[in-house]
Amino acid sequence: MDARAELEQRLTDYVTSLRRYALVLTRNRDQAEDLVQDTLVKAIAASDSWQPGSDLRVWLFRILHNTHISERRRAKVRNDARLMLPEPLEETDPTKRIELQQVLDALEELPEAQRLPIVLVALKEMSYAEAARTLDLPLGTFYSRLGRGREALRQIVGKVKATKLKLVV
Amino acid sequence: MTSAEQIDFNAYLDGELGPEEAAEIEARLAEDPEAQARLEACGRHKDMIADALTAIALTGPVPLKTARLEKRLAAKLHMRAAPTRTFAAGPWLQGVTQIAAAAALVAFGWWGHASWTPTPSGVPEYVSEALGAHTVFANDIVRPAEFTGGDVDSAAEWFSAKMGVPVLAPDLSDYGISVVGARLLGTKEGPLAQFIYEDGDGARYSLTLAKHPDNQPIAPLQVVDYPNRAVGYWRTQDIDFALVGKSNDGSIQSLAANLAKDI
Repeated sequence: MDARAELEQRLTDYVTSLRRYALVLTRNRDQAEDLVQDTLVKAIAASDSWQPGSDLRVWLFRILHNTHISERRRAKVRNDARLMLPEPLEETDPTKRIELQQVLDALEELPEAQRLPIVLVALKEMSYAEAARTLDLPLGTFYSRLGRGREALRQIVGKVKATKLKLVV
Repeated sequence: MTSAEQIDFNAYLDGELGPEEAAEIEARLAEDPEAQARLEACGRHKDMIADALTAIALTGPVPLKTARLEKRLAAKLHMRAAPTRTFAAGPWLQGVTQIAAAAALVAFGWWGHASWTPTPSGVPEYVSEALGAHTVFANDIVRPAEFTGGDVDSAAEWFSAKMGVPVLAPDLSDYGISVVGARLLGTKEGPLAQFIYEDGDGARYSLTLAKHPDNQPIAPLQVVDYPNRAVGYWRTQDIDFALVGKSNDGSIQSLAANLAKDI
């Protein structure tokens, strides 16, 4: 594979990740696509500022993240629609299906500051250092938000389970 | 669990620890079933969220506009990553690598061309300008063309008056390519007319026309291939032409050959 084809392949993978992340940020499919397209337009205009050899993925995620923040500041609205994650239809085990829904519901309850570190790490492509750079956070702050978020998630899911058990009994 | 331990467990879960630190965590987990249960729950949640995120992207095709932008960004970044590499040379020009490198330098320095005189190379100056203008305008949707759609014809009239020779945008619809915009470029070689075309896949071509200088010979078609674009140029009695577009598939060579024959 030549360098151009290799770059195109990498970019395609990154754009796929950007689209997922944009959905989590905007919670709306159309807005997510607009956000990704705005990000790409900005990246094209700012391509001179990208240093060859530096991490292209983090550079793109940062543009997306900052675009999202400034868009939201400008709009000054909070979109409280449900988190746009697909219904776990493909999961045939009913116990697992219920737990997945509980986890996604719990994720939605978390403040964004805790939710984004969890999501970025779950994308399975970013190290802590890269995810912290994407969110413009010091590594220590990133660590503690991720830790607190995961613990909160576990407790919310645990509480739901306990409530359901009580109802059954 | 202290917050430091919490951080360690998360780092362990995400594979951020070295082997020694990981072994230390495993030893602690072996003695603490409750912590182990917590870690397992977090691991399960992480996998579920990851699977749900992965499923998102599979629920619809990439919109055309996103795909186009992605393609353009790839072109931009590739140019940025490979401006000094050795270019693949076509068989039709001797010393083409040197010429291509010189032209590429002109192209990358396009905005500064007014204050910088390139060393003479085998590529005519108007071709260097055409390459630079293609890089700056045709591939860049952020800067809109000055004339679009139906205005291109009236633009051509104005260009003709400015340049002192009749110019128009050739109809390339037989090749599945349509004109999307036009602009007049002021260069030290005089005004150049640039017509921008687009094919069905969104790939951009630009055809640049310059008034043929009286003191220059006419020249048959020559094609120079770059890593990410190609230019075909030829000079006639009245007008000099440069067609810039994507490389690798020979489209510029065949398109330019047909145009040079017909015009």
